[in-house]
Amino acid sequence: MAEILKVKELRKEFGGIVALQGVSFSLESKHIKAIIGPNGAGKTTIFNIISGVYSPTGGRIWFKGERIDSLKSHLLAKRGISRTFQNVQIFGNMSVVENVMVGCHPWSRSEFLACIFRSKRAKVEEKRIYSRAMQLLEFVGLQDKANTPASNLTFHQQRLVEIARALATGPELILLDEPVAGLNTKETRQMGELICRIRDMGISILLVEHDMDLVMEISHEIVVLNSGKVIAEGSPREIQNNEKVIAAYLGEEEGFAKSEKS
Amino acid sequence: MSISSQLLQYIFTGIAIGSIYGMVALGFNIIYNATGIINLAQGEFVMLGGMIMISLTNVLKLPMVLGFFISVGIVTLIGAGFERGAIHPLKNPSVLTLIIITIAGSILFKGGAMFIWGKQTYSLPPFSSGSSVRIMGAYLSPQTLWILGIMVAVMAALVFFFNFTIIGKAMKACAVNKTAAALVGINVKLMVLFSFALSAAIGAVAGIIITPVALMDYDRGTMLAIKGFAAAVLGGLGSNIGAVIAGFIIGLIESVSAGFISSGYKDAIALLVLLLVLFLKPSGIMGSLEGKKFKK
Amino acid sequence: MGKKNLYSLAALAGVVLILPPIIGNPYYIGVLVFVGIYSLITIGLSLLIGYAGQISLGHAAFFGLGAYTSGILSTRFGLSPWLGVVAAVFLTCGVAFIIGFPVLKLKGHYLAMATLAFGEIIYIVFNQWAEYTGGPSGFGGIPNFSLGSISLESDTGYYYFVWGIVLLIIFLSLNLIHSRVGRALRAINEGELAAACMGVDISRYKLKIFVLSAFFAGLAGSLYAHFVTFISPGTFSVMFSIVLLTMVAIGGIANIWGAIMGAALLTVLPEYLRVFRDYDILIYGSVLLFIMIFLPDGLLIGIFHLFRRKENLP
Repeated sequence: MAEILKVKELRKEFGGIVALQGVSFSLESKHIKAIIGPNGAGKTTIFNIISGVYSPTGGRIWFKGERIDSLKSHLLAKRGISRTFQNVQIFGNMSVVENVMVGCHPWSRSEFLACIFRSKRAKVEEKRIYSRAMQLLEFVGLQDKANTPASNLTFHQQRLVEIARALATGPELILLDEPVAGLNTKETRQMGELICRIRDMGISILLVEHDMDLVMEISHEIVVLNSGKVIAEGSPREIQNNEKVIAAYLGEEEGFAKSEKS
Repeated sequence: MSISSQLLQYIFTGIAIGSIYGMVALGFNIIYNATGIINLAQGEFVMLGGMIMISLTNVLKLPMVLGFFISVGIVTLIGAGFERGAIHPLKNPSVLTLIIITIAGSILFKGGAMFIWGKQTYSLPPFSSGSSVRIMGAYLSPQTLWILGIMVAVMAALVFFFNFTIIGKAMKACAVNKTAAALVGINVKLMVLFSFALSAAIGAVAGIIITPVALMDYDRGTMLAIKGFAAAVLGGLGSNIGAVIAGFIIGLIESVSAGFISSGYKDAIALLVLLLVLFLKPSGIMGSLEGKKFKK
Repeated sequence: MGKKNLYSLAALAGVVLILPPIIGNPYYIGVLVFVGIYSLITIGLSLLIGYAGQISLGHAAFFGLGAYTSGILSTRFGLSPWLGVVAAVFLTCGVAFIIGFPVLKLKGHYLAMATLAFGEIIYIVFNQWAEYTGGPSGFGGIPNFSLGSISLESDTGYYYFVWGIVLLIIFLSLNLIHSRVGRALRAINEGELAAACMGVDISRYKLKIFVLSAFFAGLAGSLYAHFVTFISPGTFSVMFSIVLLTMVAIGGIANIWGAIMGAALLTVLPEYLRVFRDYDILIYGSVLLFIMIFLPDGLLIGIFHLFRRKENLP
């Protein structure tokens, strides 16, 4: 069972508009797979379907061999799928460590009564949640900011909080939606290293990204999407030389050319 | 009275009161389209319209027509003032803040009305004298015809305003896409002000025409707002045709259930309809149609 | 719960303990009983609106359901007030569960209107179901609590009883806020999408906090009925829901201590200022509008910031 995620013939319509059709691909366990494609190709829609935000109009998804295409987000989180968001969605009024502690929700158990009466188990669990959250903040390098309100962080730091929060759920698959958008070169390099470290922890990664340098450098395979359809799939090298891909990207030549230069 | 003439009588009452709900719903729509806000103070504009008209004609002895236009003018200014004073100063308010602010506005108006007019119930004479027309054993009062006629006139004026005037078109543009409207040079903030003024004006008209039939006191606003909102949701929030049709539906359900089930529970039944619509089909009967239009 | 909250709770307990001998006048102690009862509701509302971000304009109805259940059971069926409280809380929670299930699927304005409609419906039932509720004029003769041979009839006795419960509820609520569930509720408030993707079952949590806040309101209603011994629908109108909202807003919505302060201010002030009683609606409206526009974090924090800004000036 080397396949952790399998997507077959995925279809999504919004009020008659077809956003995705016949999208199929799979992700090897502990691999990094990138989904690339021009704006509006449907990349984020795929993420939203895999993470249960939208339900698909058609098609099937398997995670570790089990069908998951009708499950809601919170159940998917419990099963081991976590994600970040393109436009960062942290809990701004909560402290950094609290943000990450929310991420510990799927594997912790204390419900209303236990929390209200502070049962012994709830107390023990609270300590575990806190130490796990601190561990992850250290992992992303934000341990000094633990008690800062999350909205006071820089954009780069907020992205790191999102990743730490996603990791806190204890995922086996993590979906990263444009993790380096809006970051400078140095921050982008750090983020790339962080993504590789996450993979080294044994977590499979699905990545949507426009930064071709990063994509070509860290991903094992790439899926190319255009107008809601998969137009190519393969290793970074294969994709770079694929004519269909080059044609699809002609409109965005600049992005590709830049990556070729550097 | 036979059952059928009784039913017809309830239908006449339902049409009169339903026109009012429809107009309140129109008021909700106008502000909602321009701002995305549900103005919970909408019912108070109706109450204020009725109350001011009463003072102008009963106390100051102004002629009906003059009183009508002055009342509408005053309430329009109140609506605009509410927007400038309470909505305009907010920077990026949350939905929760907006809800609480419009509720606060609502009880502020209610309290002001109690301060000015006390807790008594007031009445207005009907717009024209003349006895009711008898149709199949039921009585149709001239005021009901006035209500219907004025509501149709208001609808026609709105259609004209939104389709043939610059300001109306600009407001419509804001409803479809605020950013795009701003980009082509429409002053979006000003349109918000206009939407409050316009919906206050419509509320005031509704209040003035219903008072001869239903009387008026300071405490009417909330219930009028909830039922008007029921009409707005049932008709599909944002849809003006839907609002008017749904207004009649709510009015008919209310008056028929008041007659045949229980007059004490008639309000409760209208509210149950609102809850059922919210639970079962929050997009309303016309909502799907309207909703599609705004989707890309 | 942090040390600061624990100290605040101890300080409040101290104040609660020494107030009656200082005040002396049983009438004013009675006023403080009302402060305690209303605080129970505002604490629940603060959890629901401030922390979980779900508005309710129908909590006067839950308050009323608690009061009427307790009152009817103890007068018409001779049930002991203690059992009355239990029944009141159960019934209120049951109604909250049934109504909350569909209502909490709604958001923002729709939720506000639906809870408002619910409040109106319950209010109409109190007025119309005269056989049991006594109709618009209400009914009296509701017995006081007694503990064995000790009656809690005296205002001071009832004061300690009610405030004992309030302190306990504050303690438990603070526990909840600073826990896994509390964080999840705040996460729902800040972003449902992100909260769901972090494994929070949003609809279940919304429903649970709604029922919990109704629990507090129902408990308060029962305590109210057995204190005033006479109830009528007027107390439980939608206007009271808005007064409750004003209390919470004065305290700064997401602030348990503020909720108590708001309840205290709007209960005590009308006792001293006649103008408050005559023009109550006008004043509540102005206060609520003023707070939301100028002090959205509530009176306490708002004034605190005002002073800090002044200090920071050179």
